[in-house]
Amino acid sequence: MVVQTQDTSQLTYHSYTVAISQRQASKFYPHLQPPLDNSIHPSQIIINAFFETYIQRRFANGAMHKYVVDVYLDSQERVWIVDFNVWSDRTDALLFDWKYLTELGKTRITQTQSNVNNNNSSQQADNDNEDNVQDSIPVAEMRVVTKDMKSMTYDPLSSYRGPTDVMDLLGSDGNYTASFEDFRNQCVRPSEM
Amino acid sequence: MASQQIDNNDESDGDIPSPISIKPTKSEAHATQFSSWYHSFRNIDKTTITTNTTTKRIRKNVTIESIIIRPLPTDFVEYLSSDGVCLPDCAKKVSSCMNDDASDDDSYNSSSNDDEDSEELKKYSFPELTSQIQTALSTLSGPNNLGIMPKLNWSSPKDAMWMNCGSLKCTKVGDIYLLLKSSDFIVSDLECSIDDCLDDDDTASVKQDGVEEVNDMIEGISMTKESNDHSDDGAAATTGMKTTANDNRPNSIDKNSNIFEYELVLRKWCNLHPSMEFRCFVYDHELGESD
Repeated sequence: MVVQTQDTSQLTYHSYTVAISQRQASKFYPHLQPPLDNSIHPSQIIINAFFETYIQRRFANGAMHKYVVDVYLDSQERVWIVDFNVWSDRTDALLFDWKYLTELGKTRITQTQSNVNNNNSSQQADNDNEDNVQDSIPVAEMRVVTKDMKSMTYDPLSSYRGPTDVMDLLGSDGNYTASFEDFRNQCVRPSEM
Repeated sequence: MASQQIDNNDESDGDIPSPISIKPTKSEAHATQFSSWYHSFRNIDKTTITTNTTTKRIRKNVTIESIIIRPLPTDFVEYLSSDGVCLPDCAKKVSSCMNDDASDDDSYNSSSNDDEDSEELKKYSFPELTSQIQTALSTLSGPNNLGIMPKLNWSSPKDAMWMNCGSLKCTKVGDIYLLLKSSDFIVSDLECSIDDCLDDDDTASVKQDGVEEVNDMIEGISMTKESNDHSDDGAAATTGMKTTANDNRPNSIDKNSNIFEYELVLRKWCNLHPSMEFRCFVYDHELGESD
């Protein structure tokens, strides 16, 4: 993008998490359900704090405008980075869709932009209005599988599965095969099995 | 709500992308490949961390320990892209075919008696790579052989898990070859990754609305800034500035395309609970100029 060349020193960018989705998008987990009082999801608070400390200014030296990051939240509430992906429809949008995400990004840019302008006009001498802007950032939209979606979901990897027979053949005692090659031979010459 | 369906209505090769198609730039693809980001999040240099009120203590590692093998031999890349699923001669044993009592076999050579079957298939062997993988496997998975998971620059072979007892966990070199070789995701890493990306200079012309506005704005600001900075220096200096800018451009492109090499990433196996994995979509906004 434009920023990574000589312009970097002149402009400040801050990327924010606009959306968070459960990674395993086909399963319902009772413990992931959002708080009943509509407050921010506890996982989201932890992830956001981690993002601001470790990722925001450090991934690609802060020069990357938009991307997707997979994280894992462990039992001690520590966040781990699992992977980075491009902001592109070649990355699975999971419980969102890319059209919506693009809209979401645009909306937030507009909102933030007007906030910056307001701040500039009201407190002219304050160059360091970053905190004010941060306060005004809307929280990310978080989606988890809720009960009513249960019947609608499917496993996105299901189309890559093989027949159970294959696994039976591979694993069962009677058909123990020493190597994958041997197994393939069985497959192509069933008459000799 | 069937919100997870993805419109994969592949655009034709024309220059105008369909509304849904969002192509990444080369620098985005470069930044997200494993070797580009891994070292920023292991053995973290604490001076690079700006603490805030919510930071309890600075952690040294925030990603799973991994070993990167790079570059990969060209014949290995050719092997991965070739038809069929045939393990290389140097690593024939895979866990999914093992009985428990046979699983401790360390030898990679098992006789293959499929001569007539494989007449058309080219035989591959990567003794050096195999020994590199074996070393990484021993280092990462420890004395109890807890396993590792493989991936290439971007993708892991998730679609081929059914070949490996429904998991990405590998305890043998053969498992790694088997998973990589059986995966469509891996092939897509090999085939359409960098070439299918936009040149960073092209982005403005193929931008979606909104993003385009922002970029125009950014360019506008930077141009203003540039001309302000050099307004006193006269025409000669302006010419000088242009030359610098022109010199910088090919460099930055070289940086993104020439360094590109395929890499095999081996990550320590961790039993992650699938419910606690989240995908975060990060989008920028711009805070204006700062000096």
